[in-house]
Amino acid sequence: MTTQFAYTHNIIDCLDTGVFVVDKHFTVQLWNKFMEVHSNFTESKIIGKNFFECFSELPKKWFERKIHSVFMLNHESYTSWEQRPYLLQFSHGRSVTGQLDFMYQNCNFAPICDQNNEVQYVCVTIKDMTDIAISTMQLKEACAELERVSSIDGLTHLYNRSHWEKAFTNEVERIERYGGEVSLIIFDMDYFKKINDQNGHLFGDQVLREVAQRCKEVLRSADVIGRYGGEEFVIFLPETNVQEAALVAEKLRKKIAEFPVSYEGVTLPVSISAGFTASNTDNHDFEKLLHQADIALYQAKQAGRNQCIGYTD
Amino acid sequence: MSESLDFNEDQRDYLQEICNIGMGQAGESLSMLFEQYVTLSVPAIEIINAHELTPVLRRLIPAETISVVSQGFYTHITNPKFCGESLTVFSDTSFDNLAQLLEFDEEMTPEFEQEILLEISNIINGACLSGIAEQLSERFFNTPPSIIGQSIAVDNLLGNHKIKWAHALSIKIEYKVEKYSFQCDLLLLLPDNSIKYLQSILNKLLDEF
Repeated sequence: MTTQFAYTHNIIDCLDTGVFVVDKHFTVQLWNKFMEVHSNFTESKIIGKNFFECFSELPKKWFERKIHSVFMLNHESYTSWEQRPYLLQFSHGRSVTGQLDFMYQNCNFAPICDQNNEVQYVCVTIKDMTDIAISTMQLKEACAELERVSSIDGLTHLYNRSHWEKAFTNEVERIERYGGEVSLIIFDMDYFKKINDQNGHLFGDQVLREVAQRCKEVLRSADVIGRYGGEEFVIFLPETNVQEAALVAEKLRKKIAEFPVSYEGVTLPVSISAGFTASNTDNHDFEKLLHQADIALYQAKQAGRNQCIGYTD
Repeated sequence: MSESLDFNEDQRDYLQEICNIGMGQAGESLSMLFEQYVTLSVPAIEIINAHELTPVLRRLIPAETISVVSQGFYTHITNPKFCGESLTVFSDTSFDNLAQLLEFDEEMTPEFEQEILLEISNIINGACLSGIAEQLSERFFNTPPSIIGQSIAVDNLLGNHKIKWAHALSIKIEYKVEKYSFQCDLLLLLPDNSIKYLQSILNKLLDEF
């Protein structure tokens, strides 16, 4: 045994970590400076008191179980801010810029044994994790924003092609596994090249934005629309048969042709041609469905545009 | 495979014996803590080659998706440094059952589910490691538990990280609490240097025996 350094207690008070000790009856035995500063209790006021009586906000049963397991197993226990933000409601150093109610904490519950290796006390340490918590949460927000941005088409704010394809693949796989059906609509702006050439790309962009907006007004919340290419749009409709898909396609066509698009003094009528198809028992193939809808779209164009045609074998 | 890592028959028997006794103690203290009968399997010990890790893990953990909690353990001052990692593997998790086992009665949230995984792993680890440590006349220290994957495939357990060891000793123990149809596996893994240290302790104990 090394000789006892005379200032151990002073050192415990120097730590930038909360340290306190309770016995089996949750009577407080030690309370360091950090705890004094952050709680409303001075050492002299809390030593000998019951911990729960001092901190009524504490989830009592949970804390009892935690301490109980340390006594029984003679093994440390832990909490992390990521699952349980704090043990005690302490203020923190980011009171102005932090946007958090309380200090986020990592806690350690360690057994203190006597000579016979019997646990007599539990020492709880509380580490201030507020800064790390704030930056981790900012990082998570940034990742979520990146994910959102990478799935969206900047012009129309619809899903972009790669995200839409991923969602459609998942839907087709879901049907393969669990059954059900899905319909698919592909549509294309009529005479878009001419609109662009005669009125400029800015006018063309406005047409695409306007069409995307009109689609959103018609579609149901489960329908998933994406911008597939320049002026080409795709929609898959979960749990929708081909007759229902025909109705949706026709509703879209009407909605888009109903009003002209105006931009900076120019007003032009717009319309779309659409092809649609639906899955059936022996057709759950992503590529095949796209191909079928494409063929139907081509037929709609050939038949004079501003119309919807369903795929037939 | 370097020869020094092979266990001879005496070492292997003795290690098996130590693990069996350790697990017996662990089972007892867990049963007391949970106030439920906890069944532990006989520890299965083997040496894993790093390059066969994935197929071995697939064999040891025959489940489609798993949640895994890792916890490091090490001894005080030894040469070479003795350290290892234990993985608690949950393959079919009913959080309501686990919460009952812990007598936690808070509202179920994703964070609370994680806390339950961490808590159960830490308890199982504590019981198990102190059982083995006592038999080895050692004391283990732990790092806090951390979740390394939730509902992931076994193949994704190690991600794309480069493995820094050549061989590892694996001790697998299965846990069961019948009443709550709770089951999980504990894998204690010791990399190269720690195997050598373990062998030196075993030799010392065998000499005394």
